[in-house]
Amino acid sequence: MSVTRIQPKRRFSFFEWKEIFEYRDLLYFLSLRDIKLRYKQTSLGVVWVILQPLVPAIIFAVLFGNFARLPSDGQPYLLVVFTGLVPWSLFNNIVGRAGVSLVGNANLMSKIYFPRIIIPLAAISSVVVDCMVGMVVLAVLMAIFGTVIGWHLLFAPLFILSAFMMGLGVTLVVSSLNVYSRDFGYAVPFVLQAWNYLTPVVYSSELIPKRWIFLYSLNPTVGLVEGFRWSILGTQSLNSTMLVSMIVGVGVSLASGMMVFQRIERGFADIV
Amino acid sequence: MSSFNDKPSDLAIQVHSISKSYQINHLRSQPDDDDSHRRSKRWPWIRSPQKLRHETFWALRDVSFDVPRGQVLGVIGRNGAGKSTFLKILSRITEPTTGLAEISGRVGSLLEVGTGFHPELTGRENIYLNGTLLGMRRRQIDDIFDEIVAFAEVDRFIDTPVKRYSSGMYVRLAFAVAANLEPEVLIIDEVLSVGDAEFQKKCLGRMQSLGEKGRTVIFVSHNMDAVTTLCDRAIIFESGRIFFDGSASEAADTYFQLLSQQKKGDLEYIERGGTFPSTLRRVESRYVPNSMPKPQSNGSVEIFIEGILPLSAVASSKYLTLAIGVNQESGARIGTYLASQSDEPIQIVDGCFSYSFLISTLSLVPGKYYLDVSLINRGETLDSVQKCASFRVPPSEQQHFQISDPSWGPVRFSCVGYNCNPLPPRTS
Repeated sequence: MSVTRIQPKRRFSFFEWKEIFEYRDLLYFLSLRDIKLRYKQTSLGVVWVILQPLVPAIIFAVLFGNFARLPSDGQPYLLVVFTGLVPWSLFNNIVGRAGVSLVGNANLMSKIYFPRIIIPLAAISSVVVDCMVGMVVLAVLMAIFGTVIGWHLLFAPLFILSAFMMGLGVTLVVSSLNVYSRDFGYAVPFVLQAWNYLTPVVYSSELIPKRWIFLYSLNPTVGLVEGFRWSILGTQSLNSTMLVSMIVGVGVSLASGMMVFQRIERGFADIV
Repeated sequence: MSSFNDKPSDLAIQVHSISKSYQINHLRSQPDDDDSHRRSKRWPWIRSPQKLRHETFWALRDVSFDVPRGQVLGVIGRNGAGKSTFLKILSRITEPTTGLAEISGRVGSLLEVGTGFHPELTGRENIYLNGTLLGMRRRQIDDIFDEIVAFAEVDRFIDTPVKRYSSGMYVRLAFAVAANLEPEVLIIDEVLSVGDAEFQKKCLGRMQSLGEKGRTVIFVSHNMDAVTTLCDRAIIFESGRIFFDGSASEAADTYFQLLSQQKKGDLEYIERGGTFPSTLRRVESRYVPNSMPKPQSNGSVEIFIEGILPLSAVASSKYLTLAIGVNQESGARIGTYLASQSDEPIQIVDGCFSYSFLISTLSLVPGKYYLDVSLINRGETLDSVQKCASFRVPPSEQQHFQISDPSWGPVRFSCVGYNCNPLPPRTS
């Protein structure tokens, strides 16, 4: 017979992976709830998921590609923008949507016990679905433009996974700190906006002057976007600095995310 | 602690000196240490956390007891005695500050009916979501799905969003999920206060059968009838400690005694509403006879109100309004007096206020009257307490004729002037 021990937690303890695994059905149904609720009572439903990245991508392609004639590594500008939007929105929406998830589910946390990490994970699931739809749209666009794919396509999942893990790490920090101080909830959209401009989402990092490129490459999300773009379009802008800072970024954000979350998770119900 | 590990197998729950403390923050009028003062000067735009005075509050103090397997244990106590905190600790929602508890067997805790229910989702979807929240696996819910639907009597509407349910259906469905959970240890808080009488009976029956099946149940309630019929044993919490531990019927007697000792004017244990339901701390009232023996004027009522404002209301306290309702003994409202800041300023010092005033009782007939008090800030009800104070209008000696029949109404009209001239003849 299982025995539940209730006592003050030690200062440093690890995630109880086994318990999280036992609650996997809850993760499934909470994710289902979040996904269903997003498009319930909309008549267009999944069309919104397609329109959301496509419309801004077309606007940016026309503005920057046709009018401003920004460099595009010799690729159609719409594809340059779209290959930027797929990994960036994955990262951006994970942080944006899951960052407020704990506060938004305060009623659950104060009434029932379950591993708290399920809440941000469930919030992320709808973002992952959006990302998959985005990739299908990307595939269609590639077919329309007749993009030649090469061996580097094999690396595409690696960059998507990196975007996911970096987003997860950042959102664990943000969502748990947001429980203590709602300042984080306000700061996140603002910081993400600025971060968006420092990442080659709607432009190619070809645009960055040579003397600034090293400093620019230290931003870990630059590697995410240029890496994904390289794996799809075979563009030349990716450099080793971008890759290294991306890998370091993934490691640091995941580690700090888990540390911060498990460290203060026990106090959520008393504070939220 | 080694003896704790090799426990006898017939104990379902062992609680070993559990304590829980909270930090309470009070607003200080002036930051009185130099450091914080300097800091707030340098960074005036950052709200200094130093302004808060911390106080440690022990919600639970050294609680220990054992529950043998198969026992139905009632937990009773006044509001704020520590019952809810204790349940939250047992259900692992919050951690104890010190102490240890062990529960053997699968625990199901039900602190609220329908946790996680979402109005947009269908009955079916909500059953699965709520069931997994309560710790069930999807397969287990598949197995008992039909039972849940039958118990809740909602089979025709199972694929309808629950926002279209009547409130009775909603509650039945929510309870049905938990009632069919069948854990080895069940922790329930006040769930019987919802639903209609018939459904409550059904729920009580369900809990009784759980107990007969050898499941351990911890049941928190204010309903002494339910506690005495269902429970083998009951514990009374008082100020975070165990005040009484014994048979359910003895516990009920002790609890009633405890309630009758409540201090006069003390609002701590009165049920209340509002967004900050502990703002009002004390309400007292007494009848003051009129010094001038004029037959048409009664005396007045002196009302004294004391409270502590929540931090968020202190800044906008100039909009505070006190609404004082005067009720008959039967509960019918006679009238309401509004005291707003613009008329008679309420003095607020450090967020605390006390307010004392006289209101005229017009011509109330002799009898006992009760007061309801609400504190309103810009249309938001901060706190409201009902029947929190009373006064008695004594029979007056000048009146030759006393109204004694309640059907005559609470107000005695008196004449304030008359005209002796005969009425002009009607022109027809």
